[in-house]
This record gives sequence, C-alpha cells and structure tokens, in this order.
Amino acid sequence: MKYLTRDTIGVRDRHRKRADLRDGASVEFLGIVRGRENGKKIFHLDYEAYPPMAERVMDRLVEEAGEKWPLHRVFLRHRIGRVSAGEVSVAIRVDAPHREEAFEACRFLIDAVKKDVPIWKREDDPLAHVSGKRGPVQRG
Amino acid sequence: MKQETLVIRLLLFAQLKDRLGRSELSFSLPLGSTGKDLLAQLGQNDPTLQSLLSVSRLAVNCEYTSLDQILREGDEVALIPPVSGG
Repeated sequence: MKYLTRDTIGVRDRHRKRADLRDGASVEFLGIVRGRENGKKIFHLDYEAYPPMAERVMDRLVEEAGEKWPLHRVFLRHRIGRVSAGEVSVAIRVDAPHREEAFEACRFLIDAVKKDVPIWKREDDPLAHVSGKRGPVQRG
Repeated sequence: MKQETLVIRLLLFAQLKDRLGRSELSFSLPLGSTGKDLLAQLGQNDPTLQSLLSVSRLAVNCEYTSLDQILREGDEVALIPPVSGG
C-alpha cells in the first residue's frame, strides 16, 4: 500500500525524499486524533478503509494536484486501524517552487481526502468482537 | 443455456456494514440491471436503510459511478456511505 499505513507516520517518513532544488516552499498538514470530542474523552479512533479504492482515489488526487500546481514532491499518507489520541492520522506534505502553490495544493489535498477517499473513522468497531479481530474488519 | 440473471457481490462499509451486520451481500439481478436497481432491491429488503442509502455513493471496480451504470457479472460493487477520513 502506497498511501495507507497501519504504522505511525513519523517525521522521517515525511521527509524521506530529497529536496528538489527548484522548490522554495514546503507545506505540511497533519491531522491529529483529538483527545476530546463534544466533551467526551477519546482514547483512540479506529479507521476503516476500502483499501484498493482508497489507494486509487488518493493516487488520482495526487495526480490532479500535480496538474493544477507545479509540484515536485507530494507526500500523502493516511493511517488505518487503531490510532491513539495525539497521534497523526493523516499527513500531507507538498513541496513547490513558491508558497502560494504549496499552500493551495496542500489545502486541496486534505479537503479532497476528507470528501472522496473511502475511509471512515469510528470510536468503536461494533463488529470487531464478532470477527475476533481488534480494529476495523478488513475485507478479504 | 442463456444466462438471464447476474450475481453481484456488494461490499459494505462503516455504517452500512454495522446496520446490516455484514461486510458483503450477494444479489441476484436481471441482466441489464443498474446501480439504481441494486439499491432498490436493498432498500426493499430493509426500508429503514433508505436515508442512509440516499447519502451513499456507488462505486464499481473502485471508481465512483453513476447509479445509471449497468452492472456486469464480476463487477466489484461497493456502497460508500459518507466518508470521514482525516
């Protein structure tokens, strides 16, 4: 899987690729699991996905961003499975020659991810105990 | 023998999976049926699903698609309830 991961998304993952000398701006967005929602304490969220489609949609979004803005590097990663409060659930990093396109592309990507990628967050997976697995039930 | 029905495996996720208690369903539909026909049959089986179905999107072979798309044997059909990633 290119965009989905069950592992934590660390700083090293996000900065692995070498800088492109044409780029003068790098914008990073991190989505983080809040520890409190509507006054209720949250220990973790379980992210369920339809993996083959999520991968395909994210691939398309990265491609679309690359057509709209002159991007040289795009990093996009979304966690699936259990993510603890305070951890990064989604990370996007966009490098471009100038800040305008970097900000715009990063904004476009997070908005589009939230709107179109088949990923669902839940506080508890009611089927987890039925399947005998922890976390979201995966297909196949 | 000429085949007159097609069998469609429908993948379910999130709220739809919870509501139906399973992650996939199998449907027997007349040849030439569309996504709309599939949803109609699902809604008929359980009318309380209607509001959730009306906000869900259909995907065929991992692409969002119109409800008018004609389904074919072997298609991977999925119902995508409102997504909430991020």
